[in-house]
Amino acid sequence: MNGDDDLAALAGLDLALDELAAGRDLPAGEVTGEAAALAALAADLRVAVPAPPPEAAERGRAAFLAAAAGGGQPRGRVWRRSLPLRLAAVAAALVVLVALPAAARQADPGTALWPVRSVGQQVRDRLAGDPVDRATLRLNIAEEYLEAGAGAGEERREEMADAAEEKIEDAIEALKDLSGPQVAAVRSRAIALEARVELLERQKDADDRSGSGGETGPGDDRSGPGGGGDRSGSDDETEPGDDDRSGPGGGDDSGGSGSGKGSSGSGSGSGRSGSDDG
Amino acid sequence: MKGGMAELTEVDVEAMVRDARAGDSHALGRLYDTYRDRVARFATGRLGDAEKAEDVTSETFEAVLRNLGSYRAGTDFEAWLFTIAHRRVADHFRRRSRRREVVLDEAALPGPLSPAVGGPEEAVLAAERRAEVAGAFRRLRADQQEVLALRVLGGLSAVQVGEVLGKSEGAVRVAQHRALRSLREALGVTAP
Repeated sequence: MNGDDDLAALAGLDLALDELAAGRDLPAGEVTGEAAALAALAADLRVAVPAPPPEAAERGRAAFLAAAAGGGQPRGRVWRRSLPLRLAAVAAALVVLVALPAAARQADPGTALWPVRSVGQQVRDRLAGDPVDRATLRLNIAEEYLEAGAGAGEERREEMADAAEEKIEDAIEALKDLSGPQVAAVRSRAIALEARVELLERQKDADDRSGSGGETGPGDDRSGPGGGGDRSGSDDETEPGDDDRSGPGGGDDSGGSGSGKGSSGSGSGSGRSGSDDG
Repeated sequence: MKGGMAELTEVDVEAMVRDARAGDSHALGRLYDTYRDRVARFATGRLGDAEKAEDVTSETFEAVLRNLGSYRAGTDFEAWLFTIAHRRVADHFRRRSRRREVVLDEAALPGPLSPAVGGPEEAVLAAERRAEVAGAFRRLRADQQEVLALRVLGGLSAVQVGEVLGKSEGAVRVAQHRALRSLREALGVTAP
Protein backbone atom coordinates (compact mmCIF):
# COMPACT_ATOMS: atom_id res chain seq x y z
CA MET A 1 0.00 0.00 0.00
CA ASN A 2 1.68 3.19 -1.16
CA GLY A 3 0.62 6.63 -2.21
CA ASP A 4 -2.47 8.75 -1.86
CA ASP A 5 -4.50 6.57 -4.20
CA ASP A 6 -3.89 3.54 -2.06
CA LEU A 7 -4.76 5.42 1.09
CA ALA A 8 -7.88 6.68 -0.61
CA ALA A 9 -8.72 3.14 -1.65
CA LEU A 10 -8.28 1.92 1.91
CA ALA A 11 -10.44 4.73 3.26
CA GLY A 12 -13.05 4.19 0.55
CA LEU A 13 -13.26 0.51 1.22
CA ASP A 14 -13.48 1.13 4.94
CA LEU A 15 -16.35 3.54 4.43
CA ALA A 16 -18.09 1.08 2.16
CA LEU A 17 -17.73 -1.70 4.71
CA ASP A 18 -19.18 0.55 7.41
CA GLU A 19 -22.19 1.20 5.21
CA LEU A 20 -22.50 -2.47 4.44
CA ALA A 21 -22.42 -3.35 8.14
CA ALA A 22 -25.10 -0.75 8.79
CA GLY A 23 -27.26 -2.28 6.10
CA ARG A 24 -27.11 0.80 3.91
CA ASP A 25 -26.33 1.12 0.24
CA LEU A 26 -22.90 2.24 -0.81
CA PRO A 27 -22.79 6.01 -1.12
CA ALA A 28 -22.87 6.80 -4.82
CA GLY A 29 -19.69 8.33 -6.13
CA GLU A 30 -17.82 8.15 -2.88
CA VAL A 31 -16.46 4.67 -3.40
CA THR A 32 -15.21 3.82 -6.84
CA GLY A 33 -12.77 1.60 -8.67
CA GLU A 34 -11.19 -1.28 -6.81
CA ALA A 35 -12.65 -0.24 -3.47
CA ALA A 36 -16.15 -0.48 -4.92
CA ALA A 37 -15.39 -3.87 -6.44
CA LEU A 38 -14.02 -5.17 -3.15
CA ALA A 39 -16.96 -3.75 -1.25
CA ALA A 40 -19.29 -5.57 -3.62
CA LEU A 41 -17.36 -8.74 -2.93
CA ALA A 42 -17.77 -8.16 0.80
CA ALA A 43 -21.50 -7.85 0.22
CA ASP A 44 -21.43 -11.18 -1.60
CA LEU A 45 -19.62 -12.67 1.36
CA ARG A 46 -22.34 -11.47 3.72
CA VAL A 47 -24.90 -13.17 1.51
CA ALA A 48 -22.85 -16.35 1.32
CA VAL A 49 -22.59 -16.58 5.10
CA PRO A 50 -26.02 -15.65 6.39
CA ALA A 51 -27.31 -15.50 9.92
CA PRO A 52 -28.72 -18.77 11.25
CA PRO A 53 -32.45 -19.36 10.87
CA PRO A 54 -34.91 -17.56 13.18
CA GLU A 55 -35.97 -20.72 15.00
CA ALA A 56 -32.40 -21.25 16.16
CA ALA A 57 -32.34 -17.68 17.41
CA GLU A 58 -35.58 -18.27 19.32
CA ARG A 59 -34.20 -21.37 20.99
CA GLY A 60 -31.03 -19.57 21.91
CA ARG A 61 -32.93 -16.58 23.24
CA ALA A 62 -35.12 -18.73 25.46
CA ALA A 63 -32.08 -20.54 26.83
CA PHE A 64 -30.25 -17.28 27.39
CA LEU A 65 -33.11 -15.71 29.29
CA ALA A 66 -33.70 -18.90 31.29
CA ALA A 67 -30.05 -18.90 32.27
CA ALA A 68 -30.23 -15.25 33.21
CA ALA A 69 -33.35 -15.83 35.30
CA GLY A 70 -32.04 -18.95 36.98
CA GLY A 71 -28.51 -17.76 37.34
CA GLY A 72 -27.49 -21.27 36.50
CA GLN A 73 -26.66 -23.44 33.56
CA PRO A 74 -28.64 -22.51 30.49
CA ARG A 75 -30.87 -25.30 29.31
CA GLY A 76 -30.28 -24.40 25.73
CA ARG A 77 -28.91 -26.04 22.72
CA VAL A 78 -25.35 -26.19 23.90
CA TRP A 79 -26.28 -28.12 26.99
CA ARG A 80 -28.53 -30.50 25.12
CA ARG A 81 -26.09 -31.05 22.32
CA SER A 82 -23.17 -31.62 24.61
CA LEU A 83 -25.00 -33.76 27.15
CA PRO A 84 -23.90 -37.07 25.60
CA LEU A 85 -20.38 -35.76 25.48
CA ARG A 86 -20.52 -34.76 29.11
CA LEU A 87 -21.97 -38.11 30.09
CA ALA A 88 -19.22 -39.81 28.15
CA ALA A 89 -16.67 -37.66 29.95
CA VAL A 90 -18.17 -38.56 33.33
CA ALA A 91 -18.17 -42.23 32.40
CA ALA A 92 -14.56 -41.99 31.24
CA ALA A 93 -13.62 -40.24 34.45
CA LEU A 94 -15.31 -42.97 36.49
CA VAL A 95 -13.44 -45.62 34.55
CA VAL A 96 -10.14 -43.84 35.08
CA LEU A 97 -10.69 -42.95 38.71
CA VAL A 98 -12.65 -45.93 40.00
CA ALA A 99 -12.95 -48.93 37.72
CA LEU A 100 -9.42 -48.92 36.40
CA PRO A 101 -7.69 -48.73 39.79
CA ALA A 102 -10.12 -51.33 41.15
CA ALA A 103 -9.31 -53.70 38.32
CA ALA A 104 -5.63 -52.84 38.56
CA ARG A 105 -5.60 -53.84 42.22
CA GLN A 106 -5.70 -57.46 41.04
CA ALA A 107 -3.21 -56.95 38.23
CA ASP A 108 -0.12 -59.10 38.07
CA PRO A 109 3.28 -57.80 37.02
CA GLY A 110 3.64 -57.74 33.28
CA THR A 111 -0.08 -57.49 32.60
CA ALA A 112 -1.72 -54.55 30.88
CA LEU A 113 -3.02 -53.05 34.12
CA TRP A 114 0.20 -53.48 36.01
CA PRO A 115 1.46 -50.00 35.13
CA VAL A 116 -1.72 -48.56 36.67
CA ARG A 117 -1.18 -50.56 39.78
CA SER A 118 2.46 -49.65 39.80
CA VAL A 119 1.59 -45.97 39.78
CA GLY A 120 -0.70 -46.55 42.76
CA GLN A 121 2.08 -48.35 44.54
CA GLN A 122 4.49 -45.53 43.90
CA VAL A 123 1.97 -43.06 45.27
CA ARG A 124 1.46 -45.14 48.38
CA ASP A 125 5.21 -45.54 48.71
CA ARG A 126 5.71 -41.79 48.65
CA LEU A 127 2.85 -41.20 51.02
CA ALA A 128 4.10 -43.71 53.53
CA GLY A 129 5.40 -41.63 56.41
CA ASP A 130 6.97 -44.48 58.36
CA PRO A 131 10.10 -46.15 56.90
CA VAL A 132 8.96 -49.52 58.21
CA ASP A 133 5.65 -49.14 56.38
CA ARG A 134 7.52 -48.12 53.30
CA ALA A 135 9.84 -51.10 53.51
CA THR A 136 6.89 -53.44 54.10
CA LEU A 137 5.15 -52.03 51.07
CA ARG A 138 8.24 -52.61 48.95
CA LEU A 139 8.58 -56.14 50.19
CA ASN A 140 4.94 -56.79 49.36
CA ILE A 141 5.63 -55.69 45.83
CA ALA A 142 8.76 -57.83 45.71
CA GLU A 143 6.70 -60.79 46.79
CA GLU A 144 4.25 -60.18 44.00
CA TYR A 145 7.08 -60.15 41.51
CA LEU A 146 8.30 -63.45 42.89
CA GLU A 147 4.85 -64.97 42.62
CA ALA A 148 4.52 -63.72 39.09
CA GLY A 149 7.88 -65.18 38.21
CA ALA A 150 7.21 -68.60 39.68
CA GLY A 151 6.22 -71.01 36.97
CA ALA A 152 6.94 -68.54 34.19
CA GLY A 153 9.33 -68.87 31.29
CA GLU A 154 12.97 -68.06 31.71
CA GLU A 155 12.86 -64.52 30.46
CA ARG A 156 9.97 -63.55 32.65
CA ARG A 157 11.46 -65.32 35.64
CA GLU A 158 14.63 -63.41 35.18
CA GLU A 159 12.74 -60.16 34.80
CA MET A 160 10.62 -60.79 37.86
CA ALA A 161 13.60 -61.88 39.91
CA ASP A 162 15.46 -58.70 39.01
CA ALA A 163 12.44 -56.56 39.81
CA ALA A 164 11.92 -58.31 43.13
CA GLU A 165 15.56 -57.97 44.01
CA GLU A 166 15.42 -54.28 43.30
CA LYS A 167 12.39 -53.85 45.54
CA ILE A 168 14.04 -55.81 48.32
CA GLU A 169 17.11 -53.63 48.09
CA ASP A 170 14.89 -50.56 48.22
CA ALA A 171 13.18 -51.97 51.30
CA ILE A 172 16.48 -52.62 53.01
CA GLU A 173 17.58 -49.14 52.06
CA ALA A 174 14.49 -47.70 53.69
CA LEU A 175 15.45 -49.43 56.93
CA LYS A 176 19.02 -48.19 56.91
CA ASP A 177 20.22 -46.95 60.31
CA LEU A 178 17.03 -48.11 61.98
CA SER A 179 16.69 -50.70 64.69
CA GLY A 180 14.07 -52.26 66.89
CA PRO A 181 11.91 -55.35 66.81
CA GLN A 182 9.70 -54.18 63.95
CA VAL A 183 12.69 -53.30 61.82
CA ALA A 184 14.28 -56.65 62.59
CA ALA A 185 11.11 -58.45 61.53
CA VAL A 186 10.99 -56.62 58.25
CA ARG A 187 14.69 -57.28 57.67
CA SER A 188 14.12 -60.97 58.28
CA ARG A 189 11.35 -60.96 55.75
CA ALA A 190 13.63 -59.19 53.29
CA ILE A 191 16.26 -61.89 53.76
CA ALA A 192 13.67 -64.59 53.28
CA LEU A 193 12.51 -62.97 50.09
CA GLU A 194 16.08 -62.70 48.87
CA ALA A 195 16.34 -66.39 49.33
CA ARG A 196 13.26 -66.82 47.20
CA VAL A 197 14.82 -64.64 44.53
CA GLU A 198 17.81 -66.93 44.69
CA LEU A 199 15.62 -69.96 44.28
CA LEU A 200 13.84 -68.40 41.34
CA GLU A 201 17.12 -67.80 39.60
CA ARG A 202 18.57 -71.15 40.57
CA GLN A 203 15.58 -72.76 39.05
CA LYS A 204 16.76 -71.35 35.80
CA ASP A 205 20.33 -72.36 36.55
CA ALA A 206 19.17 -75.84 37.27
CA ASP A 207 17.44 -75.98 33.92
CA ASP A 208 20.53 -74.72 32.18
CA ARG A 209 22.79 -77.20 33.81
CA SER A 210 20.10 -79.85 33.83
CA GLY A 211 22.02 -82.38 35.83
CA SER A 212 22.32 -80.91 39.24
CA GLY A 213 19.59 -82.73 41.01
CA GLY A 214 20.27 -81.06 44.29
CA GLU A 215 19.08 -77.72 42.99
CA THR A 216 15.88 -78.63 41.32
CA GLY A 217 13.53 -77.88 44.13
CA PRO A 218 11.42 -75.29 42.37
CA GLY A 219 11.51 -77.27 39.18
CA ASP A 220 10.31 -80.30 41.02
CA ASP A 221 7.40 -78.35 42.32
CA ARG A 222 6.09 -77.66 38.90
CA SER A 223 7.32 -80.48 36.76
CA GLY A 224 5.30 -83.25 38.24
CA PRO A 225 6.38 -86.83 38.29
CA GLY A 226 9.72 -87.31 36.75
CA GLY A 227 10.07 -83.71 35.68
CA GLY A 228 13.68 -83.28 36.66
CA GLY A 229 14.73 -86.53 35.09
CA ASP A 230 12.92 -85.80 31.87
CA ARG A 231 14.68 -82.55 31.44
CA SER A 232 18.09 -83.82 32.32
CA GLY A 233 18.33 -85.95 29.26
CA SER A 234 16.95 -83.57 26.71
CA ASP A 235 17.66 -79.99 27.43
CA ASP A 236 20.67 -79.44 25.24
CA GLU A 237 19.11 -80.01 21.88
CA THR A 238 15.47 -80.79 22.00
CA GLU A 239 13.88 -78.33 24.36
CA PRO A 240 11.00 -77.23 22.14
CA GLY A 241 9.92 -80.79 21.43
CA ASP A 242 10.59 -81.69 24.95
CA ASP A 243 8.42 -78.83 26.10
CA ASP A 244 5.57 -80.04 24.08
CA ARG A 245 5.77 -83.57 25.26
CA SER A 246 7.05 -83.43 28.76
CA GLY A 247 3.81 -82.98 30.57
CA PRO A 248 2.77 -80.44 33.05
CA GLY A 249 5.22 -77.72 33.92
CA GLY A 250 8.51 -79.47 33.55
CA GLY A 251 8.89 -78.96 29.86
CA ASP A 252 7.97 -75.36 30.16
CA ASP A 253 10.93 -74.68 32.30
CA SER A 254 13.37 -76.52 30.16
CA GLY A 255 12.11 -74.90 27.00
CA GLY A 256 12.57 -71.46 28.40
CA SER A 257 16.04 -72.05 29.70
CA GLY A 258 17.86 -74.39 27.47
CA SER A 259 19.69 -71.93 25.29
CA GLY A 260 22.08 -70.57 27.82
CA LYS A 261 20.26 -67.30 28.32
CA GLY A 262 20.87 -67.68 31.99
CA SER A 263 24.15 -65.85 31.89
CA SER A 264 22.78 -62.69 33.42
CA GLY A 265 20.72 -64.66 35.87
CA SER A 266 23.62 -66.70 37.00
CA GLY A 267 25.67 -63.55 37.49
CA SER A 268 23.21 -62.02 39.83
CA GLY A 269 22.58 -65.36 41.43
CA SER A 270 26.17 -65.81 42.35
CA GLY A 271 26.23 -62.44 44.00
CA ARG A 272 23.40 -63.40 46.22
CA SER A 273 24.62 -66.86 46.91
CA GLY A 274 27.73 -65.26 48.28
CA SER A 275 25.69 -63.30 50.72
CA ASP A 276 23.67 -66.38 51.57
CA ASP A 277 26.78 -68.26 52.28
CA GLY A 278 27.85 -65.47 54.46
CA MET B 1 -22.27 3.83 17.32
CA LYS B 2 -19.03 2.68 15.77
CA GLY B 3 -20.21 -0.62 14.44
CA GLY B 4 -22.96 -1.77 12.24
CA MET B 5 -26.01 -1.21 14.41
CA ALA B 6 -27.27 2.04 13.04
CA GLU B 7 -30.46 1.94 15.07
CA LEU B 8 -28.70 2.06 18.43
CA THR B 9 -26.52 4.88 19.63
CA GLU B 10 -23.70 4.30 22.05
CA VAL B 11 -25.87 5.83 24.73
CA ASP B 12 -28.60 3.30 23.93
CA VAL B 13 -26.14 0.45 24.17
CA GLU B 14 -24.73 1.72 27.46
CA ALA B 15 -28.21 1.99 28.92
CA MET B 16 -29.16 -1.45 27.68
CA VAL B 17 -26.02 -3.00 29.10
CA ARG B 18 -26.47 -1.18 32.41
CA ASP B 19 -30.05 -2.47 32.71
CA ALA B 20 -28.97 -5.95 31.68
CA ARG B 21 -26.32 -5.93 34.38
CA ALA B 22 -28.99 -5.01 36.86
CA GLY B 23 -30.84 -8.16 35.83
CA ASP B 24 -33.55 -6.50 33.74
CA SER B 25 -34.81 -9.36 31.60
CA HIS B 26 -36.20 -7.01 29.00
CA ALA B 27 -32.78 -5.42 28.57
CA LEU B 28 -31.17 -8.83 28.44
CA GLY B 29 -33.59 -9.90 25.73
CA ARG B 30 -32.85 -6.75 23.79
CA LEU B 31 -29.16 -7.27 24.14
CA TYR B 32 -29.51 -10.78 22.80
CA ASP B 33 -31.75 -9.69 19.94
CA THR B 34 -29.40 -6.88 19.02
CA TYR B 35 -26.24 -8.92 18.77
CA ARG B 36 -27.20 -12.51 18.34
CA ASP B 37 -27.29 -12.60 14.54
CA ARG B 38 -24.04 -10.75 14.21
CA VAL B 39 -22.26 -13.07 16.58
CA ALA B 40 -23.80 -16.10 14.91
CA ARG B 41 -22.81 -14.91 11.47
CA PHE B 42 -19.28 -14.22 12.64
CA ALA B 43 -19.10 -17.69 14.17
CA THR B 44 -20.52 -19.32 11.06
CA GLY B 45 -17.91 -17.59 8.96
CA ARG B 46 -15.11 -18.69 11.22
CA LEU B 47 -16.27 -22.23 11.82
CA GLY B 48 -17.92 -22.99 8.53
CA ASP B 49 -20.67 -24.95 10.18
CA ALA B 50 -24.03 -23.57 11.21
CA GLU B 51 -24.57 -25.98 14.09
CA LYS B 52 -21.19 -25.41 15.62
CA ALA B 53 -21.67 -21.70 15.12
CA GLU B 54 -24.90 -21.96 17.06
CA ASP B 55 -23.08 -23.66 19.89
CA VAL B 56 -20.37 -21.03 19.93
CA THR B 57 -23.00 -18.30 19.85
CA SER B 58 -24.74 -19.83 22.87
CA GLU B 59 -21.41 -20.16 24.66
CA THR B 60 -20.63 -16.54 23.89
CA PHE B 61 -23.87 -15.30 25.41
CA GLU B 62 -23.43 -17.57 28.40
CA ALA B 63 -20.03 -15.97 28.90
CA VAL B 64 -21.59 -12.54 28.51
CA LEU B 65 -24.02 -13.40 31.28
CA ARG B 66 -21.26 -14.58 33.53
CA ASN B 67 -18.97 -11.65 32.83
CA LEU B 68 -21.34 -8.77 32.40
CA GLY B 69 -20.38 -7.62 35.86
CA SER B 70 -16.79 -7.19 34.77
CA TYR B 71 -17.63 -5.13 31.70
CA ARG B 72 -16.37 -1.59 32.26
CA ALA B 73 -18.96 1.02 31.43
CA GLY B 74 -17.73 3.51 28.88
CA THR B 75 -15.65 1.01 26.96
CA ASP B 76 -16.81 -0.39 23.66
CA PHE B 77 -19.39 -3.05 24.41
CA GLU B 78 -19.38 -4.51 20.91
CA ALA B 79 -15.63 -4.93 20.94
CA TRP B 80 -15.95 -6.56 24.37
CA LEU B 81 -18.67 -8.91 23.14
CA PHE B 82 -16.79 -9.92 20.01
CA THR B 83 -13.62 -10.45 21.98
CA ILE B 84 -15.55 -13.08 23.91
CA ALA B 85 -16.91 -14.57 20.68
CA HIS B 86 -13.43 -14.53 19.16
CA ARG B 87 -12.09 -16.45 22.18
CA ARG B 88 -14.91 -18.95 22.07
CA VAL B 89 -14.12 -19.62 18.43
CA ALA B 90 -10.46 -20.03 19.29
CA ASP B 91 -11.43 -22.46 22.07
CA HIS B 92 -13.52 -24.35 19.61
CA PHE B 93 -10.61 -24.65 17.19
CA ARG B 94 -8.40 -25.87 20.02
CA ARG B 95 -10.92 -28.51 20.99
CA ARG B 96 -11.24 -29.61 17.41
CA SER B 97 -7.62 -29.34 16.46
CA ARG B 98 -7.05 -33.05 16.76
CA ARG B 99 -10.12 -33.89 14.87
CA ARG B 100 -10.88 -33.28 11.26
CA GLU B 101 -10.48 -29.96 9.50
CA VAL B 102 -13.68 -27.96 9.42
CA VAL B 103 -14.67 -27.25 5.89
CA LEU B 104 -16.95 -24.45 4.94
CA ASP B 105 -18.99 -25.27 1.94
CA GLU B 106 -22.50 -24.86 0.79
CA ALA B 107 -23.58 -28.06 2.53
CA ALA B 108 -22.37 -26.75 5.86
CA LEU B 109 -24.24 -23.51 5.61
CA PRO B 110 -27.84 -23.08 6.66
CA GLY B 111 -30.34 -22.85 3.90
CA PRO B 112 -32.11 -21.37 2.24
CA LEU B 113 -29.52 -18.64 2.37
CA SER B 114 -31.86 -15.93 1.19
CA PRO B 115 -35.27 -15.75 -0.44
CA ALA B 116 -35.00 -16.72 -4.03
CA VAL B 117 -35.60 -13.81 -6.34
CA GLY B 118 -36.70 -14.59 -9.84
CA GLY B 119 -37.06 -18.02 -11.31
CA PRO B 120 -35.44 -21.32 -10.48
CA GLU B 121 -32.54 -20.62 -12.78
CA GLU B 122 -31.67 -17.44 -10.91
CA ALA B 123 -31.97 -19.29 -7.64
CA VAL B 124 -29.55 -21.95 -8.81
CA LEU B 125 -27.09 -19.36 -10.05
CA ALA B 126 -27.34 -17.42 -6.80
CA ALA B 127 -26.76 -20.57 -4.79
CA GLU B 128 -23.75 -21.42 -6.92
CA ARG B 129 -22.34 -17.97 -6.38
CA ARG B 130 -22.82 -18.22 -2.63
CA ALA B 131 -21.11 -21.58 -2.56
CA GLU B 132 -18.29 -20.25 -4.67
CA VAL B 133 -17.75 -17.23 -2.42
CA ALA B 134 -17.99 -19.34 0.73
CA GLY B 135 -15.47 -21.81 -0.68
CA ALA B 136 -13.08 -19.04 -1.67
CA PHE B 137 -13.42 -17.47 1.77
CA ARG B 138 -12.51 -20.80 3.31
CA ARG B 139 -9.33 -20.92 1.28
CA LEU B 140 -8.09 -17.64 2.71
CA ARG B 141 -5.46 -17.61 5.41
CA ALA B 142 -6.87 -17.86 8.91
CA ASP B 143 -5.90 -14.30 9.82
CA GLN B 144 -7.61 -12.99 6.70
CA GLN B 145 -10.74 -14.99 7.45
CA GLU B 146 -10.63 -13.59 10.96
CA VAL B 147 -10.52 -9.97 9.85
CA LEU B 148 -13.30 -10.40 7.31
CA ALA B 149 -15.44 -12.42 9.72
CA LEU B 150 -15.25 -9.65 12.30
CA ARG B 151 -15.50 -6.75 9.89
CA VAL B 152 -17.90 -7.99 7.24
CA LEU B 153 -19.87 -10.75 8.96
CA GLY B 154 -19.77 -9.42 12.52
CA GLY B 155 -20.30 -5.87 11.36
CA LEU B 156 -17.62 -4.33 13.56
CA SER B 157 -15.81 -1.14 12.64
CA ALA B 158 -12.11 -1.18 11.82
CA VAL B 159 -11.42 0.30 15.25
CA GLN B 160 -13.42 -2.43 16.98
CA VAL B 161 -11.76 -5.17 14.95
CA GLY B 162 -8.47 -3.67 16.04
CA GLU B 163 -9.55 -3.86 19.67
CA VAL B 164 -10.51 -7.51 19.33
CA LEU B 165 -7.36 -8.50 17.49
CA GLY B 166 -4.96 -6.13 19.22
CA LYS B 167 -4.16 -4.16 16.06
CA SER B 168 -4.30 -0.55 15.07
CA GLU B 169 -7.14 0.78 12.96
CA GLY B 170 -4.71 1.34 10.11
CA ALA B 171 -3.45 -2.21 10.28
CA VAL B 172 -7.02 -3.50 10.13
CA ARG B 173 -7.80 -1.31 7.11
CA VAL B 174 -4.80 -2.72 5.30
CA ALA B 175 -5.63 -6.24 6.39
CA GLN B 176 -9.25 -6.08 5.25
CA HIS B 177 -8.18 -4.65 1.91
CA ARG B 178 -5.66 -7.43 1.37
CA ALA B 179 -8.06 -10.07 2.54
CA LEU B 180 -10.72 -8.96 0.08
CA ARG B 181 -8.15 -8.88 -2.69
CA SER B 182 -7.15 -12.41 -1.77
CA LEU B 183 -10.79 -13.41 -1.82
CA ARG B 184 -11.13 -11.96 -5.27
CA GLU B 185 -8.08 -13.87 -6.43
CA ALA B 186 -9.39 -17.04 -4.86
CA LEU B 187 -12.52 -16.57 -6.94
CA GLY B 188 -10.35 -16.35 -10.01
CA VAL B 189 -11.17 -12.71 -10.70
CA THR B 190 -8.26 -10.63 -11.85
CA ALA B 191 -7.69 -7.14 -10.54
CA PRO B 192 -8.91 -4.32 -12.81
